[in-house]
Amino acid sequence: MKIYQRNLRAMNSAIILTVVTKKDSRRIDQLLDQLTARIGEFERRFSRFLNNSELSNFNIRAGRRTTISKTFMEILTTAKSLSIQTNGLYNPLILPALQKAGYKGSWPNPGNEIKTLNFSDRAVLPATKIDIGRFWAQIPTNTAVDFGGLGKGYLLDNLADYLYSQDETSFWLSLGGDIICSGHDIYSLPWDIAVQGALNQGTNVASFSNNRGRKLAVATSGITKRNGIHNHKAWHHIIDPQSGEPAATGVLTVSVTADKAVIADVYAKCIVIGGEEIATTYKENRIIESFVVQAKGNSTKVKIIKG
Amino acid sequence: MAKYKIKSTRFISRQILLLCIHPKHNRDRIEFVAGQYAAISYRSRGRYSAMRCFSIVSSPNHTDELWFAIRVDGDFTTTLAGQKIGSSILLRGPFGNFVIDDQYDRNVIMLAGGIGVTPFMSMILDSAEIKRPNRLTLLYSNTTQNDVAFKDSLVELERMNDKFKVAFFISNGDIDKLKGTRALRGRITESRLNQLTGENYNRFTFFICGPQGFINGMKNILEQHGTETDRIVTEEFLVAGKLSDSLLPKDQSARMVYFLSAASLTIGTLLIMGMDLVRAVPKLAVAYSTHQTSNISSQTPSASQSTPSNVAPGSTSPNTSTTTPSSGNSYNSQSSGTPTPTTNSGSVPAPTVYQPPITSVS
Repeated sequence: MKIYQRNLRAMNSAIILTVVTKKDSRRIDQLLDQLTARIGEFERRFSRFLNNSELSNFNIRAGRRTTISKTFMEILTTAKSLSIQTNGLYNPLILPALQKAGYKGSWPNPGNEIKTLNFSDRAVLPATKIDIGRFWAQIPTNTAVDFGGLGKGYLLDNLADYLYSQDETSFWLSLGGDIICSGHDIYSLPWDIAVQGALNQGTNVASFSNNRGRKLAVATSGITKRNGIHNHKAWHHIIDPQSGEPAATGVLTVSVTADKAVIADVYAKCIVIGGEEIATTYKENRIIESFVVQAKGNSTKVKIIKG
Repeated sequence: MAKYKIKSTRFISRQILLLCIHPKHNRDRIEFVAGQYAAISYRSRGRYSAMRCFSIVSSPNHTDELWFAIRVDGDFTTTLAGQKIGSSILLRGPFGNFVIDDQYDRNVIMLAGGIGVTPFMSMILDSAEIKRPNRLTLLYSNTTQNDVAFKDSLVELERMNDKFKVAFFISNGDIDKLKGTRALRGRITESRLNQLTGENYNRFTFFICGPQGFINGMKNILEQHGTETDRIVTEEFLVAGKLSDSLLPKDQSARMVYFLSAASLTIGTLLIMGMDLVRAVPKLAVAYSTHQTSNISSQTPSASQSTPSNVAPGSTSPNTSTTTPSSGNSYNSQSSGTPTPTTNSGSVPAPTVYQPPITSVS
């Protein structure tokens, strides 16, 4: 067995693609090329930081019926459905509030509002207002969609499905710290995924082990990375849809595991917004499999809650 | 951009060319919804032409071929009509929101002016093949009966699909060639629309396509009768299918190629002039200039650089490493693998130490 790994940068994140296989390097290179191309294609079509992406064009046409691709339809339908399931804690129409809070440009230049489309003067409405037809969708005038809350998860699931279709079942893929893994490592042992410390990123505070070998997704959401000061006010990128303000529950980071990366991605954010108590509820309802919450503890210490 | 080849071309009326193209490879095949359009560019004198947009007339259920009906009345379309079978075509798309929804558009009235019938052909074919529930009525207006395109196809489709009806309107001249069809002299008027709709306009969705004047005329009638905005869907055909910036997403790659070609030509010319000048000056000056020239030649950019389309903006050169198990727990890696096309094309992937999975804030 050999392990192949490719590192690249896209979606303003570090991306690591790792495959364990018996196949030759030429074949795996082609496979990794395919994954790379899919990532590039996804960003080109669904990044809100690209003014001519499919997503940006859709937002420009708010209020009008717009033909969308099958992939866009899938993501939008998933987003609407998850918004309803999470009682609005996740909301794909959060973009105006996100930009108003200060996250206008692509990280790490979030204040770069000149180059990206600005929808901060629009409203945040419930995702139930999204209308979806057979191959078109419509959002109310004066709203705007962002796939930032589930895009990486959706893409990870897509990449994993592609690897399975190519008979590759031992791999781990990381998009900026959101991970999906399957199978085993080069020693035929389960993948162990370490959880980085919220405040001390040089330490690992916990780990998840993929003992069953099937697909396992791990997503980490938090307020410790993408943040800044806007109009003399601190902001981060996890916005509470109800208040329209950055979430302030004391949660620093949340790592959750689920069988699908899109679920892990969305519910990790919901726990940041809803607080540590909601993590237990999600686990009891079998929405997520396990979690590690790092929250503000006494003085400078970080409280770690595992479930 | 998808690569296609011309499969056939023929004129179906005085000025209308029917163009059939097929994908060069299966992966180039595009999927589309009936009513959408695509942008086409053909190869001429070693370069691809500018792109023009045309509605797809064929059924979306058979994408091994794409058909376009093109009015030949300018340089672009004339040259396109002269292309040989097997010639290369570049295609982008599909684009457009001129599409019928099964659920919302139960009763559809299609108002077509001249070549504006093209998007409707795809819709009507699709409806006949899939047996869609929507009722479709096409009112097709032309100046003379010789301008009518797809007459036989439309009559046949009406026979095949009891949910589809067609009527031809001829402004000038005879209608004898339309015998046996529902053909009327004159234009599509308010009284005819009143008759068709029973003056209950909001029971229908109106799709209008054709020249701007035709669209404006039809819209005026509909709006005067209180037709809701949602029930009027339009697609304007610009003169000779000219491209509008708003219709086509921006693509900087062609401009970049031209810019870099011009830049390298200029620099190359200056270099040659510089070298000629050097030969004409005394030895002391030559020694200094030779040093300068060697620096310039190593920086000459490649004329063929363009922004690659398959890598995300901002990505660096990806590198692949392969390892085999060693005696310890740490992995040793060797760089191998083929560099993929990136903005740093040609750079050697750096060796990388294997990184284990660590989840962190994304």
